[in-house]
Amino acid sequence: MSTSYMKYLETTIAKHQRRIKKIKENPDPSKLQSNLMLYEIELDETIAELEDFKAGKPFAAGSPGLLMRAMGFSSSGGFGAADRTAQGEGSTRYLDSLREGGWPELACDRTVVSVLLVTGGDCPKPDFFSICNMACEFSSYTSHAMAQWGQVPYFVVDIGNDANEENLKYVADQLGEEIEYIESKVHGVKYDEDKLIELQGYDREWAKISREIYEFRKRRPSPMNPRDAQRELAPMGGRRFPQRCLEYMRAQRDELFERYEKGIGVMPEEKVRLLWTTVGINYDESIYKWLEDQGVAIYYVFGMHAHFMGLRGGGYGDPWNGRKLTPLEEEARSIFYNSWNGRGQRLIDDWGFIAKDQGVDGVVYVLQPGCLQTLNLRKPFTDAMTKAGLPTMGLEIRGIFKEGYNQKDVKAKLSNFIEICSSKKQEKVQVA
Amino acid sequence: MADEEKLQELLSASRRENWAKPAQEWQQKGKKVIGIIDSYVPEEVLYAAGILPIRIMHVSHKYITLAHAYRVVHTDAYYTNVLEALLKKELPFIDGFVFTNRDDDSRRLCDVVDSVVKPPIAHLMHIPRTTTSPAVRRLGEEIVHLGEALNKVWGLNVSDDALRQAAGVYNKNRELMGKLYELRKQDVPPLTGAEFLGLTTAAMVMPKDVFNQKLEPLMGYLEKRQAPIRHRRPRLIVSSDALDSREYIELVETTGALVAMDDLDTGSRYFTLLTDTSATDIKAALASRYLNRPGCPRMMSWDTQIALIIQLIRDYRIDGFVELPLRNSFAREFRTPILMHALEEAQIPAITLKREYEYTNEAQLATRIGGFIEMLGVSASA
Repeated sequence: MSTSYMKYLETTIAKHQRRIKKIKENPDPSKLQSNLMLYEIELDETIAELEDFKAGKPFAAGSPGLLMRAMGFSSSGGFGAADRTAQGEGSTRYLDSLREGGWPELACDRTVVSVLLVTGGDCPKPDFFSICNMACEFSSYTSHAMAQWGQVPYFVVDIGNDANEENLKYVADQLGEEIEYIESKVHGVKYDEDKLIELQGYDREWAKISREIYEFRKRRPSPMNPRDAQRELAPMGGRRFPQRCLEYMRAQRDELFERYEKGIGVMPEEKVRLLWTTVGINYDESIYKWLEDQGVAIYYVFGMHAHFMGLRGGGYGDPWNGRKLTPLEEEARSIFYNSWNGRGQRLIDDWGFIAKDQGVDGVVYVLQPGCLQTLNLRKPFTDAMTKAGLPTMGLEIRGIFKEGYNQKDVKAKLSNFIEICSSKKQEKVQVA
Repeated sequence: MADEEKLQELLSASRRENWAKPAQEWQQKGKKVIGIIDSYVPEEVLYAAGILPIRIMHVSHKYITLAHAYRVVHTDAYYTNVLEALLKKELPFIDGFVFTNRDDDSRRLCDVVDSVVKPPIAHLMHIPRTTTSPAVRRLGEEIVHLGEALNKVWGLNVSDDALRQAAGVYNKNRELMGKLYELRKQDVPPLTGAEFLGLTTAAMVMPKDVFNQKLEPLMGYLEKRQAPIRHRRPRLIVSSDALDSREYIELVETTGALVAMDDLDTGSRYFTLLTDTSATDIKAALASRYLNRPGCPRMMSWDTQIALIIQLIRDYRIDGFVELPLRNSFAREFRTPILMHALEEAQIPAITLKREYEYTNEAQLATRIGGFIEMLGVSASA
C-alpha cells in the first residue's frame, strides 16, 4: 500500500508541477494570477505530505481538522483529495472500485470516495480517525468504515441538533475526552493549546478576508466569473501552510479589487445571478465558461460558510452569550454551527440569507444522489425561496462520478431556467 | 378461549388489518397517540404521560403519488411510504410524532411532516451516536425536552415516579420477550421466525401493559409449544431495519430454512437490555439503556455490533447469515462490506439481498435465498 500511496503522491506532485510550469510559460490574462500561489501551496502541501509519510509521522483524518493539527498530526487530502479524483479517469475508476467493494453506490460520492482512496492505497491509512457528524452522517460512516477496515483507533465526536448551551458543553466535553484518548492511543502526538489558538487565529483572519470578498461580490456586474466563484478556499487553520494560504487569500482579494477597477474578469453583461448549492460539477469545467457566456454569475454555497465566515455570528473570537469561549469551546461552536446539522430550517435560513444578501435572481438547488441533508429538503427550501420571490430549479448531478452526466441536458435545463430568472428579474425592474 | 387461540389473536394484532386498532381504541378514550418510526425514541416517556406510542408500520403503497413531491426516489423507502400515508390521511389515529436523528433522512422527514402535515407536535430528538458519559447525559437532557414538549402542546406531565413505573412495565415486556427468545435456541422453537416478528411488532402497537397481560399467561403454553415449521435446518439469522412485513421471513422459511434468530430493530434489538429502575436518576438510566442496547448501524460502534451478531450466531447455532437491507438504508450499506468481511473471517456463510419496503420481488429473492440454502449444504425437515 505504501508504494501505491507514494506513487499516487508522486503523480499528484508531477501534475501540480506541470500545471505551474504551463501557467508560468503561458499565463492566461483572463484568469486570476493569484491562482498560481494556490497551486504552489497545493504542490508544497503534497510534497510535505510525502515527506511526512516517508518519515513515519502520524496521520489523522476527520474533523475537527484544527484540533488534529494542534495535536501534531499530519493530514492527508480529505475532500480536496476526493474532489481531485473527478479529474480524468478517477471519476470512472473509483466508481468501478466502489461497485466491486460493495460500497453504497448511491452514497454521496464526495464522501464515499475517501474510503476508496484509503482502501485502494491512494491515501495513507491514518493512524487515527476523528469521527464527527458535523456536516453529514456519510462523512461519519466513511471515517468509521475506514477505521474498521484498517483497525485504526477512532473517537466519535457526536453533535446535537441545535446551536445552544447544552451542545456547547456536550461537544467541548467530548473534545476534551478525545484529546485524552488520542494521547493514550497514538504515539508521538500531544495536545498543544497554544497551537490551537494560533490556528484559530488563522481561521479568524480567513473569515475576515472572506467577508471582504463576500461584500465585494455584491457588486454588479459580478466581479467574479462562475469558474473563479467555485474556487473559494475552505477555512485554512487545518492546512499545512496556513500563513501562505492567508497570503494567497489577500493576494486574491487585492487582485479581484484591482481587476474590477480595470474592468478585467468582470462579467461583461450580467444577465442573471444564481445561487448554486451543495456541489459543483467537478469533472466539467467547461460548463462554467458556458455559464459565463450566458451572462450568468454564480454564488456557490456548500453549507457551512455562512457561520464559518461569521456572517450570521459564531465566528472564532465572537462572544457567546456575553462571554469569551475557551479554545475547545471555540472548536465546539465551529462544529455545531455547521447548518447541515439539526432541523432543515437552519440550512434554509443560512442559504436564504446569502441568497437575499447577494441579491441573486434564482437558485440552482443541486440534487446530489446520496446527499440526505439536501435531497429531501428541496420542497421546504423551494417554498421558502418562492416566498422570497426566487425561482428555484432542482438539478440532479454528482460531484465526482460523471456516469450518466449529459452536458447537453444540463445546458438545456439551465438555459430554460436562466430565461425564467431573467424574465422574473425584468418583471421586478418594471414593477419598481 | 384456548391458549392457541389467544396466541393467534396476539400474533394477529400487528397484521395490516389490525395494527391501528389499539391506537383507535386509545383515541376513542380521549387519549393521545404518538407515531414513531424508529426504535430509539424512549417510549417510556410517552407512556408515562398517558400517551400511546405506536410504531408506524404496514404503510407500503403500490404507487407513490404524493410523497415524491417532497422526497426523491433514491432515499429511504420506509420514510417515503410513511409520508405518503400521512399525505393521504391514512393515519388519523395518530395525533403527533416524535422523530429522532436516526439518520439525516429522518431529520428531513421531520422537517417535511412539520411544515406540510402540520401536526400539533413533530418533535425531533437528538440521539447520540456513541455511548460515552457525555452522550448519556445529553440523551438524558433530550428526555427532559421531550417531556417539556408534551407539556407545552398537551399540558401533559411526566413525573419521575411515572417514568420509573413506565420503565418497569417496559422492562416486564423485555423480560418476557427475552425468555421467549431464549427458546429459539431449541431445535424446534415455540414460534416460527415469522410468528416471532408478529409478536415483537404487536408489542410495538399495543399498550405495553395490555400486551404483557396477554403474553404472560401464555408463557407456560409457549414453553411447550412446537412451532409449525417445515425445516429445522439450516438455521438462519435475518438482519435488517424497519422490516415489518412478516412475509419476508415467511419467504425465507418456506424456501427451505428456519429463521432461528433475528437482528432486527423490529425484533431482538427492540427489547434487549433492561432499564435500571433502581437508579437514582431514572432519565439517565433510560438514556443509558437506549444507547447501550444492541446498536443499529447508525451507531458508531460497528465492531461491537458485529461481535454481537457473531455471538448470536454461536449462541443460536446459526448456519448462515441473511441480510435484507432496505434499499437506500445507507448506514447499513456502509456497514455491510465491513460486516461481510468479518463474517468471512469467522467462516460464517452470509448473503446480502437488498429489498424494497413493500413485500415484492419475491421470486427473485426466493431464487437467491434458495441458492444460498443449497450452498450451505445442511438440511433437516421438521
